[in-house]
Amino acid sequence: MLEIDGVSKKFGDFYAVEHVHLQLEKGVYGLLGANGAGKTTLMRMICTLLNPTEGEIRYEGAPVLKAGEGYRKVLGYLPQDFGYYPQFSAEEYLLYIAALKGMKGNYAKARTRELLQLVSLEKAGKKKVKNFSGGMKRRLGIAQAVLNDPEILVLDEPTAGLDPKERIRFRNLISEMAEERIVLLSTHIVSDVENIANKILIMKNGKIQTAGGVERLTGELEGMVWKCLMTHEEAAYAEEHYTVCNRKKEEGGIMLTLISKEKPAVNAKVVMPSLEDVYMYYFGEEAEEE
Amino acid sequence: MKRRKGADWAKKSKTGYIVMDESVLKPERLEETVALSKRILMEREKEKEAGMLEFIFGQMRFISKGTWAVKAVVFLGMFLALYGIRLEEGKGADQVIAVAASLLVLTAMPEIWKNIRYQAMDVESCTRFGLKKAYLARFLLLGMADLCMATVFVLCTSRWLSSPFYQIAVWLLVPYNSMLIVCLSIMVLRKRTSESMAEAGGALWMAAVFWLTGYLHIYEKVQLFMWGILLAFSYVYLGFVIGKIVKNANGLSEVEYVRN
Repeated sequence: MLEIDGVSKKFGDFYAVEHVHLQLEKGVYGLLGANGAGKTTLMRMICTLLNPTEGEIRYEGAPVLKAGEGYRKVLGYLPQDFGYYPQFSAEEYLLYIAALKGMKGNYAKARTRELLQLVSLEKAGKKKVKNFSGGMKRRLGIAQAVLNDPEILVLDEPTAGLDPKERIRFRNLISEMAEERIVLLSTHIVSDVENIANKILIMKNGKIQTAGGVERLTGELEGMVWKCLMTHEEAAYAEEHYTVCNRKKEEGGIMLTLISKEKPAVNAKVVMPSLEDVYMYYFGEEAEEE
Repeated sequence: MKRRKGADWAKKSKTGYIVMDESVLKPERLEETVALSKRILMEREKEKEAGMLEFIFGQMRFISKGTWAVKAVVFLGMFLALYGIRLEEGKGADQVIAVAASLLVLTAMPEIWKNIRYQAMDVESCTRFGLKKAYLARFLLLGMADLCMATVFVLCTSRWLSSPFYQIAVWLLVPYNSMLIVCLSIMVLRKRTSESMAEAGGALWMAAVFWLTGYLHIYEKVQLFMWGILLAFSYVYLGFVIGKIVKNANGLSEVEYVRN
């Protein structure tokens, strides 16, 4: 079990992460939040790249900072900006990371071949990484993270730059791998976590606002998501006063999906909330800014 | 299901091996067996871990070929230049050695600093051996390569130039160590521009060493014994500064993250 016990990270006077308490067991955890919510800082602390200002992170009861090599041996990390050596081919890069992960030659070669196939890069194995497209680099990044078959897999915005087909394949890959490990993936793309995460952690201003499965989170908004057909003027007013999740031009006006504790219009009908609505409920303003 | 008798489908060959009747072999079962064997073998290999020595020497293949090639060219150039100088009674040999020794250090710096240039520290820091040991391995391998080539070089040139072995060693080690001190002292500052600053500082120092040896004739002004003491001090300082770079390795990731 990975325990995050009252962890905070302060940069000057600014709390990037503030008193986070979490207990992660095997399964997929989706860390959902707008840019600047503190997701990356939290993940970097889990990966021992940043020291917490307060609190402690423990794996199987042992503080991760003290465990050092023993902890890093079971860790796989894909950073948001994944650095690579341009002169290396994909195969060389994976072998290099395998060497750093302490894998023996023959096993490293076999595992490299296996993973290149898994992320559909087997034909590009000899190609230099500098000539890869964004999606190919991302897939290579995922391969390096799982090289050592880690018990803890931390993926920071893993689907950035992947096309829809690759995104679906990635989701299936993570689902498959999650049976035997802790997978923590951060994203601000709701659909990435909606289908595969056992638990979703919503992070805002450095704090975990709420956590739970999709049903529990959407349940929080039950009776608060409305659909109503409005005129242009009414729609403009609603957009100013409510969190609008969707806007669609239809015959006879504009169909709005919005969040409100009270009925926003006479013809408004309550609809089942989705995870996207939950996201908008927490990050409505930030989402607009983005 | 009744088991087949061995004699029905297999018989011994003249050499003693068991030869199977191909008609009873099922390709899909064979494939399954091969796959299972491979998986068992992989599981066993997975349990084995590389030791520190294996890791260090394994890093050799990941040092860029360009770095090795430049080192070879510098040494070759130094040999050729000294071979020519031998014909002119050894004049200017100390200057050629000073420039070549400085170039050896200067051309290795991009290899040492590549993690930061390509922002690869995050992934490397999260591995079992980590960034510290990757740095250590790189310092050790590049240093050992220089040491081996320098030994051959010193032995050859002391014969060619009919100069004492220790004199050639001082001519090589003084500029080499002082250049390392200049470059690594700048790098340890952990500034984003450290690499270019170290290279610029190194180039200036190379010009200074060229001038000091060629025009000021410092090797003639200071006794060899004193050079020996200075070199001993330089090794102590280099040990300290390399230790600091390795110790700070994990912190580099935090420094870069805060900057971004």
